[in-house]
Amino acid sequence: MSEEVKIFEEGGAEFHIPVEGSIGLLALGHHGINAWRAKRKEAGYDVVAEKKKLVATLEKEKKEKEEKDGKEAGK
Amino acid sequence: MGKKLASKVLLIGWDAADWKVINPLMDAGEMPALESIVNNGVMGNLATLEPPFSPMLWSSIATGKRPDKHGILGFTEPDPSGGGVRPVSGTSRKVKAIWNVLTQKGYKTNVVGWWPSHPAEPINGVCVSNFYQRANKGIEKGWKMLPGTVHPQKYAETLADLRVHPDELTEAHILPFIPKAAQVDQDQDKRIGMISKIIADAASIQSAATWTMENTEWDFMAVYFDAIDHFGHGFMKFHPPQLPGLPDDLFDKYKDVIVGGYKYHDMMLERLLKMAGEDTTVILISDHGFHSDHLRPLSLPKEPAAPALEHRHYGIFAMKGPHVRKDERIYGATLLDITPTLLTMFGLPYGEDMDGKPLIQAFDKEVEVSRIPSWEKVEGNAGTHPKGIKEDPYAAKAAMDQLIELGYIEDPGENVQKAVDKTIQESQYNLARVYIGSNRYEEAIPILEKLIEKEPEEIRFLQRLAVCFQNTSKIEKCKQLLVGIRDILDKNYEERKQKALEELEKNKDLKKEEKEKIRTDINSRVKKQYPNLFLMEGSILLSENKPKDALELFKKAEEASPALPNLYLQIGRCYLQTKKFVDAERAFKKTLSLDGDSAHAHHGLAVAYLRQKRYEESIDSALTAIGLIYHFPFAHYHLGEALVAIGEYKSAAEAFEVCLTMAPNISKARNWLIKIYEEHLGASDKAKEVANRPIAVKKEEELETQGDEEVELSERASEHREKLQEKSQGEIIIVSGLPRSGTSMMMQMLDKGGVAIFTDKVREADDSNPKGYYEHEAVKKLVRDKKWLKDANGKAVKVIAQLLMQLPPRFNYKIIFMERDINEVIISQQKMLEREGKAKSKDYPIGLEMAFNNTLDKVKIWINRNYNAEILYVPYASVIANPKAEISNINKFLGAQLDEQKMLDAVDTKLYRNKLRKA
Repeated sequence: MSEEVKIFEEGGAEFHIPVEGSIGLLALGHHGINAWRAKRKEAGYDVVAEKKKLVATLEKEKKEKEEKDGKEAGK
Repeated sequence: MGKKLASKVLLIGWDAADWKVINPLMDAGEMPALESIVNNGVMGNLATLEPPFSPMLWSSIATGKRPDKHGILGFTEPDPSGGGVRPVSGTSRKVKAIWNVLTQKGYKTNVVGWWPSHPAEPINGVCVSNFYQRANKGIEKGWKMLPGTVHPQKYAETLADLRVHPDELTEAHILPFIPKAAQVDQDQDKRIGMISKIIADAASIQSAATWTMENTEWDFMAVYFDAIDHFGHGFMKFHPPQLPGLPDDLFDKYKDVIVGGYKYHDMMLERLLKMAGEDTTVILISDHGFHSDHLRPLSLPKEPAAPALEHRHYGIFAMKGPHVRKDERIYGATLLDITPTLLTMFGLPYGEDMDGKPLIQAFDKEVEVSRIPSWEKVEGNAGTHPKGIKEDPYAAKAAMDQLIELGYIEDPGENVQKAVDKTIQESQYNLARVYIGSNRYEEAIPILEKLIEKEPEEIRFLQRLAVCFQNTSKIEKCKQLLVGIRDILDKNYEERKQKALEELEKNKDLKKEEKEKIRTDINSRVKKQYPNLFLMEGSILLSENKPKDALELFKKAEEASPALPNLYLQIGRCYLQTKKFVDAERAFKKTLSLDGDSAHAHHGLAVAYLRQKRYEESIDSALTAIGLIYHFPFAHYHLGEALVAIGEYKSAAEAFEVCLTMAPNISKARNWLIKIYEEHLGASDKAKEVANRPIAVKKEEELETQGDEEVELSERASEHREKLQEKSQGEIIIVSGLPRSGTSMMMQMLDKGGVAIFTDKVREADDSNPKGYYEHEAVKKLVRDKKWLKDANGKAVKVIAQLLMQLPPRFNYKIIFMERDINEVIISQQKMLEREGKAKSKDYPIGLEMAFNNTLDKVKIWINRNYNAEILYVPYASVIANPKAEISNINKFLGAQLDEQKMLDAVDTKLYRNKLRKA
């Protein structure tokens, strides 16, 4: 999964793979996906870790909102 | 084994793909990959099946069989382990799929994502089931692949890693679909999440497909994508042009999703084409289309599988590869034809138990087609599941959630038994719809009746049963049912009104004056109209040859719902029956303005043009109808008539030949063919051959199961053969009706008007018929002896209604059918029996009335099915009340050669003795 995967355009030039991916890479199938994931890894972006962070943030926000709502209701 | 037409075949399924969306995109150069298939191969519509539910349809595509044979009857099924309801499983398919047959013949076969195909079947190749791509939890919770998803197991880990989770996607993936994604409030609007899921699911399938193509040997590969259907259900309402009532901001945000979805698929297709190589035959199909224009429903009813109402009847078919014709259209393909075509391409016979046929017109060389009785009986390893395999309940639950999310099924809730009952009910209803969709109305009736026993007020069941009754000539039952439906609808309406009033009374926030205003408003609501019911009642009248009455109901339906599907089609048919061809033309054009793909409207237009002697336009319209539905015998028939009119006899003969291949009993097509071969093409041998062709009878095996019908059908079949051996032409005028409906008077009128009469005068005039009966003893023996008909050629002969159906097809008939109030007929017959001292009772014979009504229904159906018979209905009362007008009509019907004044003299109003007086 981590090996370098290169993708070339029709004319032979190497395709610059964006870290954020693209629809074109998905359409390429397994090579496109592997290339994108390799690029993502190279850039140090961990999808699972990022999602966990996001979930934690959302839960924190939700909790804060509930507490705020509870206080206002008690006033 | 026959000659192979392909070395490798790649079959790609795009659920719900539709040419109506694709064509403008191809024209704009935005779908280059699909355009390359179309330019280098064949394309056409692929007609779907009823009901258009994807798991049933894709199973029909893979087996060449209708759902009653393959056993997939909906989206869900009871879990055999007793655990409630589960999504339909590949283990429920009762017959072999194409990949099983190919496995059996030693071909390497890959299948990716087919619906339904879980658990993966142990075929000779790779099978990736339809549970492969589903991600029902966040990626942070782990994403294990369900057991049984991949065969062989050795590839499971590799393929699991190639799946794409929606949480992996970024704005780079979303923006091509929603350029203004930043404006979406994702806390309130979950549509971006929906799109992520659809994109990721398709990416997973593409990934598994490309990997298996590259890493395994294969002769046949099938890949299925469901994304276009999901994009459609979620976002077609935002596709331009903007639908009325759709808020501008929503339209602005989501208007590009559908186009984005198709372009994404074209990109994936480009990759698959490149990997497959030039030597591979590629077939791209969809199971149905998707309304993308003004036919998009603005709302959906609250019933299971309602989203399928957004589906259009035609899917897509495109194919390119060795031996495939280039840049051509093919016509008349249905999704049942895919498996027979694939088998033929591999040089294998297709099963006689399959419901489709090979699309041989798609190939540039002569195709060797062979058949075997059934692949089911062929022994050997077909890569099917061993008997007794168990289903994974967790896998079933995950997919069930997906279906609930898509709106295809109701949330089963906590009451599992109720959910199971509901699932069984829906599968039975779907089975009835399968039978209706294949014109097997008799088989649908007991299923619907049983469903109605449990749910007596379920309108959709009642409406389908009414359709079955109408098509099996149970007209009275149909009428009764429609009355019942109207009562239920009225009751439901009243209940809703009452509920609204009760809720109003409970409302304490409204002022007294406001309440009073709303109360008045509710009470003054006009009783709801039911346009579908009017349409149905009208179509019954139309089938009873009462076009004027039918038209009145259609106009009411038009007032209530002007965009009702098929309304103008029926109006057009009314005008055709009343010979108002310009009005008919207008009505069919109106139908086409609402739905340009209505084959029946194009056909109606062809008939309207034909009768206006606008032959070129008629030919164009008939060809368009045939292009949409090739198996349309009457369209071929009218094409033939128009071609005869412009002297294109060879093409006309071809049209009539096609018509007869599809419907061998259309006698008028036979007669035309004989005439053309003899008089215009100098081919007497062919004419003779046509005359000697047997009329199709039901298959022996079907006869064996039909008890008493066997003898009747067999006798009828041999009788047809005998009569066709006599080469014949000619026209006979038939005066018919129930006994005592004025037939003798009509015979006298024709006699006086100058028509030669076929009578032996054996039955003499008496008190019941003082001017004579005008009968011939031979007619009474019509059931057994028809040889005498040649002596009646060119003459008028009296044949009672009950014997009409015995008339052989070798003559053309102009039938004047006397109509009289059935009570008057019965009373008149009773009095006649009394006069003759034969009356058994003076009671009114109710059974007789029912039997007579039944006869009249049968006559109408017989007339509609026989193109060698034209009919003019003449009301007896009208002849008495307004003889001039009726005589003028009769004269026109018979060719305007009669002496109308003399005919008038024959009308004796004094003989109208048994007239019912209106209360």
